[in-house]
Amino acid sequence: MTSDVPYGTLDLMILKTLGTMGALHGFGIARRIEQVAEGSLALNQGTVYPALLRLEQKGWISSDWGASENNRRARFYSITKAGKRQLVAEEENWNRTVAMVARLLESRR
Amino acid sequence: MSALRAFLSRLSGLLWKRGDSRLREEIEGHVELLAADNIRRGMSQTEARYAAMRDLGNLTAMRQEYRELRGLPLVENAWQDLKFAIRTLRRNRRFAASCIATLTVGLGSMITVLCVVSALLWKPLPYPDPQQLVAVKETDPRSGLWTFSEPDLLDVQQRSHSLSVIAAYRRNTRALTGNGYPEILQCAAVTAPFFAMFGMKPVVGATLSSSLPQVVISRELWRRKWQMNPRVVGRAILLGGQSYTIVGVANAPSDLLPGVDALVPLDPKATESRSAHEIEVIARVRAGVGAGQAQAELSAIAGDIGKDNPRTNKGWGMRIIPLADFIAGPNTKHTVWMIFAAVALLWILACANVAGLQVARNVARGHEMSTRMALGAGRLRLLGQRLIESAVLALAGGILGLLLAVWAVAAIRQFGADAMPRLAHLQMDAPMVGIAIACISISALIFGALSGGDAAYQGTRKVSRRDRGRDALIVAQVALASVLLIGSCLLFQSFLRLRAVDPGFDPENVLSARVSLAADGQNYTRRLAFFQDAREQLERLPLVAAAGATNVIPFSGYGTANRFGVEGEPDSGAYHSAAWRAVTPGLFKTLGIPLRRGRLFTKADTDGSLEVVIISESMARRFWPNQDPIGKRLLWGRSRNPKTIIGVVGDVRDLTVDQTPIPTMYRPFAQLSDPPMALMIRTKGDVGHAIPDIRKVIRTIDKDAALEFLPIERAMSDSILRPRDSLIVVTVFAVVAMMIAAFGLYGLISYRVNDEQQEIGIRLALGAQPASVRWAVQKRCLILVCLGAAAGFPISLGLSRFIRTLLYNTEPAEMSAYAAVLLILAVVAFCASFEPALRASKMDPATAIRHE
Repeated sequence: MTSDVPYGTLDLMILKTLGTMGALHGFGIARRIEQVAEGSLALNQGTVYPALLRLEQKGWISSDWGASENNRRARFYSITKAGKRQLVAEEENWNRTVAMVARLLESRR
Repeated sequence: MSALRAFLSRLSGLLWKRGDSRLREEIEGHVELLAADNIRRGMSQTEARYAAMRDLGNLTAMRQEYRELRGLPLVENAWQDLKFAIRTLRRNRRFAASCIATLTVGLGSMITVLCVVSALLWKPLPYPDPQQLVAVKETDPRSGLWTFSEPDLLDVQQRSHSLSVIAAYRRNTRALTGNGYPEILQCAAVTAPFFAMFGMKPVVGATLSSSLPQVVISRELWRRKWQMNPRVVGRAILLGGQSYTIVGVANAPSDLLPGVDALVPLDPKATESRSAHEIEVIARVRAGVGAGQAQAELSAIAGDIGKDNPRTNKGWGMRIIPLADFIAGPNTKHTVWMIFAAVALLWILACANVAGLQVARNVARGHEMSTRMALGAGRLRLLGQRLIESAVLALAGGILGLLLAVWAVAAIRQFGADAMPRLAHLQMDAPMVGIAIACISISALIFGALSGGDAAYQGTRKVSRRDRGRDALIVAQVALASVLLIGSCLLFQSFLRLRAVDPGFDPENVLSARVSLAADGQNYTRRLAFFQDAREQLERLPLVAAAGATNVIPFSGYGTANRFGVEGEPDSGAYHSAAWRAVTPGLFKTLGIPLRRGRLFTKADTDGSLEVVIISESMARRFWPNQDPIGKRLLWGRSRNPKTIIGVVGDVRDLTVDQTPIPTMYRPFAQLSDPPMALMIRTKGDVGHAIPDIRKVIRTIDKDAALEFLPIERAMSDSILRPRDSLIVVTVFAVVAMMIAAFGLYGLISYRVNDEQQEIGIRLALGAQPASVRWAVQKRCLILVCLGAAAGFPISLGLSRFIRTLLYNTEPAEMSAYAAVLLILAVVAFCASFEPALRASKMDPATAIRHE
């Protein structure tokens, strides 16, 4: 079963990917997220680009031109210091939310 | 922090349009990499590419999102709307021009009047802590305002605790002699605290601190007489024949004492009479003391003074007036707010007209609106677009209005500063421009919202084509304009009649010269000799036709009157009152006052001879009806000395032009004690050319005699300035109101014609004559104007009693004024509808019928 990307989580997924993998281009990020999801996520790969722009505008990631695997010019994104701080904060936030929702769901049983 | 960063990055994205190509390149790279992956999994080349595109999802939506993220969509939309608005306005020149013209007039007059209000009422006076400064007046038992008497001032100074500083001044004129040409100076005697109260800092020297004969001169006088020489301090000058030492140079406060060139000490004395009310009092209310408290204290002090001096001060009170109000004058505040209200009304009418024009245009654009809504434009977006269009119109009208206001402000300052000193501060400064911008924005909001709200409906509803509300608005405007026009016409008629009034003498080429003789010339026989010599020697000049002297310069705003009795009257104890003038023998000839009976004065009528009097025609008619007054005697003044009537002369109006001539007695100067006299000289040709010769002659008689010239014709035209000023104000309003109404009419008719193109086209195609089409359009305009006049004329009649006091010899219901206004309105109606009517009649039926 595949599900849509939950609202607002794409940014976190991108930050985490860049945080663990280092600099990647848009295709690399999309592929990495799909691989980790192991087919359980229906990602419209195009949507990573607006998300990347949004993160860059906030100063959490930076980008630069580089060469891709097939030797084309490609935009490589990497996480910034501010981005790393944001990632830690959002991870904690996410874990808290998930734990809270999980407790809520269990207690109903 | 990150939000600010994002905003700045978006702003840069808006300004530098990069990124579109970057996204394209990234997507292409993405597709290639994905396709290569797919090929590796065994797909064919085309298949791999399609699959890659599928995985990327909806690229159009993504691009839209990316674009909106990159820039600021609100600003971009606004920019787009702005370009669109300018484009559509340029395509609808007539619409744009009538909107902008209306706004220019409405906003221009609004901004101008706001500047005037600010200069007269809002701007703090340029003195230290001006809000604490008050003028103090005495009030008589009937609440009439009086200047102070010196002992009353001293009592207030002694007893008041709520006033921290009290200063007093008295204006007068004195001759400055001994430095080049003698001249008559505007002087003021001031008490010592005056200088600190108004923050006066001397440019050189010091201010007055004692009652020694010292003087502080103005910078203007310093420049004119001493070329700004700093060593002027310590010099002695002669003022009215007395010696004063110059101690410093400083300008008197120009609002309070405009034109004053010399300040001398004022030393109030307790020994002066309490009924000699001659000095103005300005005081500073102690900090923390309210105006009401100060007023209560002064009333109590006045009550005490009244108890101590019942003969002079019983029932008298005191009143404090804020200094700003005192300087502005008693009725200024009221008048200024009235004018402001009128202008605000005109401004709102202008906005309403523009809104009306836009609504009319919305009707014509209904189709466009429906199409745009069908294509997905939101209501907010449509409303926003309307607001932007309104803003463009308001801005264009506002900038032109501001320019108009700058011009008007300069004109008012130049011509109004004489009448109201504070108008000298009138200017378009930064706060006023701020207020102007606020006015412009409010205008845009008013008519943008009025018409935009309507536009948002357009998609679903068809507005009824005949909009009665707009007709009513135009009719109301025409009515208002016609009321103002009638007022203006009546004032104009009255003004013309006033100018044509025969004053009873011939003021043309008559020059008056106020004379101030040096001290040794002040005694009576010397003065008598001076005026006799002056007459004889002046009449020898080739440029002088006649010369004489009188104690009252015509139209100087000053006159003298005395009581008299009629000898032999049954009730001979009764007093009558009449004006009197002291004259020298040449005066009647100089002024051209005609002799009706008897004889004029001669040199033989002197101190020792029979005491004689000449009376005016109206006096003869009233007090000696059906008799020959020559040889009869009247009883002069309280002393009831009999004077023999030797002549009757024509009536004159020498106080104001609009007075009815009052009974007047003329006495020979030689038989009177000492009224101050002025020379009157009739010149041949222009009065100005004779002045140098006259000065020369007078100097040979008395080298220290100071002269102040004023042509009588000027004095006479100055005396009708007030009627002229109200004429100008009402006329300006009438014209502005008429213009706004005319632009409104034009816009309305113009759009009706556009709206009815099809109908007109069909009529033309069916053979209607262009002339009849033209008339049909113009008739509609005329009907609206006639309705407006029908509403306005009764209002004018109803308001006529308010204008009656301003009119001279003119009835408020005068038919000719109404006829003139009707004619003006008809012409305006014709002009406003001329172009749309012509357009209608020249329409090509084929295109008109197809027009939607």
